[in-house]
Amino acid sequence: MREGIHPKWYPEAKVACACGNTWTVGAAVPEIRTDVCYNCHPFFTGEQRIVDTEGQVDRFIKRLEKRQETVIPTSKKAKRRKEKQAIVELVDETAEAEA
Amino acid sequence: MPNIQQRYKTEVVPALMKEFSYSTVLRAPRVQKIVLNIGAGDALDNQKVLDGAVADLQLITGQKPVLTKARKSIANFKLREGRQIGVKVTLRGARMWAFLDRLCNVALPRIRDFRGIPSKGFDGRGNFTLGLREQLVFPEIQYDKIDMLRGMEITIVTTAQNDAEGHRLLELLGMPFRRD
Repeated sequence: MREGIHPKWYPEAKVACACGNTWTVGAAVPEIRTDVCYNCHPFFTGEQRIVDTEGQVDRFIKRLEKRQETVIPTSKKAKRRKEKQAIVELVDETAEAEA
Repeated sequence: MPNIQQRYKTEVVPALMKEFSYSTVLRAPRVQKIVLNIGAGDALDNQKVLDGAVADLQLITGQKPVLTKARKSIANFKLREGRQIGVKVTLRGARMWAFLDRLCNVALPRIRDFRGIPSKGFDGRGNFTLGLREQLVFPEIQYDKIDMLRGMEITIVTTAQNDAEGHRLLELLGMPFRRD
């Protein structure tokens, strides 16, 4: 490798993971911090949980709860829809009878 | 898992010797070099893209990349021979091992929705190529300092004679292949 053109190299850079795991590795920065490493990522440990970096799972569960709360008291719209469906069924039967 | 170079000598080589029953240690596949390439066709319109790509690779590998130039003119792409259209860097020895360590143990787990890397990136002769969508998976790269998201291709050249040997070598070194 040519002298003087490459960035500074840290042969003993420290890697620190949020799970508490640390080790040293060669790198161009003296210290590396990470959220997940080979030690704690679910794929490496046998997929026992869902990685939730952006709170997507929480958001989904919240949405699910909200939906269940609102769905139980049937709204006017839902009733109307039901009536409509009943009419459609009736029409279907008469259509069959004609045929 | 870390200290990948030493682990190669003490664990991987004996395991490979046993599995493929080689007659000599030198027959066991080795990692020869790792090449990182960023194709930056958009550099034709905007020369600054290349500076960003150079900075990224430099930070990831600790080595200054080489600018690649167009081999021939292609009028449809407004490409003239000799224009700079990408950057690449070849890693060997200590930096190669350090990079492999950071790739397998830090960068790959950071990929969004990571479910293992595909085993279909082998070329038939035991070398493996992997594409990344964003440079942000490397912890050295800071989110607010990048100019744009850009991916890269990482090719691991081995002395393996076929894909099966190469696959096993990388697997033993800690490469998280997809399990089906």
